[in-house]
Amino acid sequence: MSSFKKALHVEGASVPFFEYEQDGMRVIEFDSSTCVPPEPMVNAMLGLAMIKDECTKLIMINHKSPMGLYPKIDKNFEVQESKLENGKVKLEIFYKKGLSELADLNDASCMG
Amino acid sequence: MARNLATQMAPPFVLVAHYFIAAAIFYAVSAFLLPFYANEIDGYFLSSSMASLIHLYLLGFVMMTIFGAMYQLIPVVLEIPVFSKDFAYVQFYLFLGGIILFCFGLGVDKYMAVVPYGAMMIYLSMLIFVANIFLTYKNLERFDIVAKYIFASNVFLFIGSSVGFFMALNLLYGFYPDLMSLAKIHIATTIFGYVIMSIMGVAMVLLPMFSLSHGYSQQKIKWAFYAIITGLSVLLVAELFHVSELFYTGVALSAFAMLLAILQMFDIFRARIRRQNDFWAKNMIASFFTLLTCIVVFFVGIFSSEQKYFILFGFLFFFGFLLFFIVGHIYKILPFLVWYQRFSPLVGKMKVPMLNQMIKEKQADVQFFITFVGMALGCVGIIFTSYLTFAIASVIMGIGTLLVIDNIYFTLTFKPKKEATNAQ
Repeated sequence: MSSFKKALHVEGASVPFFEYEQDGMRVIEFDSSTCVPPEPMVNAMLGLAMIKDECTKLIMINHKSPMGLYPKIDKNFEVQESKLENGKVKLEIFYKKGLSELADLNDASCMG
Repeated sequence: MARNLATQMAPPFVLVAHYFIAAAIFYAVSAFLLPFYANEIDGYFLSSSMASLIHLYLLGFVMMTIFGAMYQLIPVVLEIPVFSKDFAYVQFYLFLGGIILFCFGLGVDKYMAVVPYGAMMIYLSMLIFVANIFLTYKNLERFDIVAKYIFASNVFLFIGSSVGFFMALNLLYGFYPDLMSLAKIHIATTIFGYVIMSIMGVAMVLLPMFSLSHGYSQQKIKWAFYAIITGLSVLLVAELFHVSELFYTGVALSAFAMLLAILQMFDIFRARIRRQNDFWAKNMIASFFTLLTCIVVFFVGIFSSEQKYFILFGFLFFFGFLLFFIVGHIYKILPFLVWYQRFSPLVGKMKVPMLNQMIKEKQADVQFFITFVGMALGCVGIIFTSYLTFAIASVIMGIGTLLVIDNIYFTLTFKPKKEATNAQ
């Protein structure tokens, strides 16, 4: 079961963010699939800062696998990647107890 | 899957900025000088004064930009760090000094004696660059099509710059009589072997990145690689052994490779997610359209044997194709580098500007239009041998150059508006 999507104001974001409830989880979602670097990374960093517990997950839709993002987050968050029918990529990012708090979310650098 | 972090391998911004700022200055100087060459449009394609302007533009603007961009792109494209950043600084200062000496000597007859010294500095700087690239390749794990293009282009750069240095010595000491043959080899290896092959290779990274394209076949650019390698090799052998039939086979194969590359770029554009035709997309379309025109004009020149078609080819190639391609990418790459240097540490702490705010977009659009009109008028001037028309065209293009320089300055010194930097 999921609730209606509500627009979420995120200061500094370059794309709209949405939030909704799904299977008891708070889901935060954004679509950066029409953005060129560094926008996907900037928005991802802003979204990751909102994953503060195991009941929250972030969904990122991108035009391809964000290779620059993985080295920054794969130690601190659990990431599941899947390919959508339209060729885009969906990342579901989950909280990792004791590790997500340690993530450096100020370094939004990426190289494509 | 290896997920290397390109940023950890990227060179410092100040290194790339050295190359880009110098390139912008040489671009401005070349644009300022261009109207004074109006009375050469029916002259000899390989005159020393023409060589002076072409080298100022090609070495100072085009190659300087390519070298700077390569140092930035190699860690991204090849996923390995450049072998030595110190080499890159030494190369820059040698190259800069060499270009000034070399072009001054070629342009002012009574200082012709300094040409070999300038050439030696340029040659040394290119050897450092080529050595730096080859040593970088020692750690390469994935030899994909882009890596092949960059590697092969540097082999041609080594051959072309060696021949160029030999020509500069020959200019003063006259020990080898067949200057035309050397010039053909030098042009083929540096412009088509290095510049064109580098562009074909990096375009396979830059175009999909900025247009958000994927799912296209890379077959055409792969065929183009083998066609241009074969074409240029045949052309060199033909010129060394004076077999004119083979020479034209080499030219035709190289032209075929460029046509394939243009078709590949078209495929990438068709697959793009980002559909809006911004100033970058306009510059790319104009760039590849001009390259296509260049190929046609070149063959018209060969069949008609009229010198003006080779002048027209050179003008379109240098001040059309290369200009649109480079300026279009400077508008994208420079804001990215400045953003990464200045604003990426601030994400999450305050609202940071986006890349499109770091360029005066309307001005970039106007500049594109002005440059295109100037280029088209310049072609009219060359075709009808009108010095005045060409001079007016080059002044119009000069206005476009000033707009580019102003935009580069705006990006380098960018300060976000107050409301954009309020802390959260």
